[in-house]
Amino acid sequence: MFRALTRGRRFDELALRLQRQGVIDSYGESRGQEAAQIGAVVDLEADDMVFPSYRQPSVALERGVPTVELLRFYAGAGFCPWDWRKHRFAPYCIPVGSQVAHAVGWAWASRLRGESAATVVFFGDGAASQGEVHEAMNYAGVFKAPVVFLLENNGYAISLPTAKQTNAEELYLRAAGYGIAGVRVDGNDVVAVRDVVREALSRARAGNGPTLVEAVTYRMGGHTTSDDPLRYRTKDEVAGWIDRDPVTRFRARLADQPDLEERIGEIEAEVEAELDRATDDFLKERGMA
Amino acid sequence: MTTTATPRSRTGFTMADGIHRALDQALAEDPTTLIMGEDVGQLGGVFRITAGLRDTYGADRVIDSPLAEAGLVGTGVGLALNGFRPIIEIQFDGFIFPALNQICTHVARFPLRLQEPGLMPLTIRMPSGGRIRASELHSESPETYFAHAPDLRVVSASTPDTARGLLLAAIRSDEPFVFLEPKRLYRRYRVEPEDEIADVDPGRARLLREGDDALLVVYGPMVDIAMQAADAIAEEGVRVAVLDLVSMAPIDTDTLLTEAARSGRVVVAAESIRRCSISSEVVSILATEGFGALKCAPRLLTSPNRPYPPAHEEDEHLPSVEDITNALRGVTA
Repeated sequence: MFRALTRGRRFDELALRLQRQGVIDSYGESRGQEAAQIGAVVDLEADDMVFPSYRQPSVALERGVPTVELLRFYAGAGFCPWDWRKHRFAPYCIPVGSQVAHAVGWAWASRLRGESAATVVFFGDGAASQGEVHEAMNYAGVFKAPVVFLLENNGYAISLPTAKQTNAEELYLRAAGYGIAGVRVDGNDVVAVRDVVREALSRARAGNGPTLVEAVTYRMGGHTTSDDPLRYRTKDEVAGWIDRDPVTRFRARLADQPDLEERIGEIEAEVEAELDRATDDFLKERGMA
Repeated sequence: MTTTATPRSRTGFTMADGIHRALDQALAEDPTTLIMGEDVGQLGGVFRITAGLRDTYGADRVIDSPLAEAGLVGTGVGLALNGFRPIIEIQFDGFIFPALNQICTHVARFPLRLQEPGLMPLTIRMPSGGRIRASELHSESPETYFAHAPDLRVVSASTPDTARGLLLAAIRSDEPFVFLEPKRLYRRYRVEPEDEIADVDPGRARLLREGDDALLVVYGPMVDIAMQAADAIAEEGVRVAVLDLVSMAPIDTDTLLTEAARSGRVVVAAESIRRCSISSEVVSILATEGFGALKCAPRLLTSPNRPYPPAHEEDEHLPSVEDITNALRGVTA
């Protein structure tokens, strides 16, 4: 899991850099949300399906999408440059929240064929206000679709804080309205996310229906590279979340592992080398190397 | 081939029967087809088009959905991506709007998005059109909304003998289709049953009547009105050809231009409003690609650019047989 978290973080830093250099067009930042994302997919099987919103590069990489194909997306070289069937990772979905029903339909199809595959769908606190998201969760309850709704509550829908998005304090409680299971988890604790999703996946595979998981996290960067978050939040607020950084938190959890520093050093070097190779390939194909 | 009994018919079968038989045949021939919609299972739909199918094929294949059109089409997209061929029934034309996001941003775009032309084998059926004295938003002509979503195919049934073949072609196609069913015509006309129905090309316009003096271009709920107008004016010695577009998106431009060129005198009629409509598109094609063959300006008969009115006023709102015969007299004078 440390490798996956690190890969997600380093990709985010790389993409931000490439955008500032004018190599890619725009990029939706995901720094700070790696634990909510990786914890939700680390236990998936190859035939399980993932529907992202548009801010899950760490998940794409964990599902085996080659880094260079992910970079192509941000460079405008195709709406889905990766093999979505092979990686079981659907294309990014731009109309906010509209992918949730697709995940329900996909999961429902799995159930109709008697397969044990489960589906995970990502969406945010902003998307949670969309009528389509409610409709999709209601359908999933009625048809006992084997799906996990992973609501990344990252505090903001572009500029709108969750407190102004809804008068509800806890979004997972909406599950009761659809007669499905709901749970809230510290989305910056990758182990906690993995544990609740593991239980949700078991429920789905056993035919006991969907689960709404609200992972409380924080978008440490901007909505996209065109955003200026300091227009709607303070530096102090952001600084407060640095202490809860999901990557350093998981690293702290590993403190009693033998040879920790050495192993972490190895993983970081391998991830760096992997991303460097992909960047070289990407720059070559863009005619920039 | 066997078909489910249709107790509604006394002799011959109606357009509703033809659509029912197409659905029955689709479910029988391909286990990945599903019917989804509000009240389509137990009740058989508010127009009873799916009556009896749930008993034959089970509740997992003829699915009563919750009352939520966006969820209906959205889950249909997911089912289609994962190997099924959903046939979605929208209860009325005026209820499609919550699903327009899914239709325009996903149904019509997934094949392009994933560079896989056969990726969205989804058929969305709905009753359409007016003149049935219904309440508000039960008499709409929504075809133009769909025609503005590139890569979505939009067709309309119009007669009992071709509805079945047309719907089967849409269901069997790997492309997404919107299939309109003029509700006034569901049970208005009967034809003798045939055990096997001819294949219908869902992209081809169909010449329903030949005539050298003028061409009448129509589709869906205007087809039988056009045939009545052609009959009426034939008594005056004017011979009018009637072309049923069948496909509103894309329009069969070749057939349209060929038939228009025979007389060079064209009347286009539709129930929809005029602005940015299928019929204004027909006139645009004639003006830009067939101008040389026209002998006079085409006449365009539509509803005025206003919302569909209360039942009391619908006869004045829609082009009538008399409006069409007057226009035909105008172009042939």
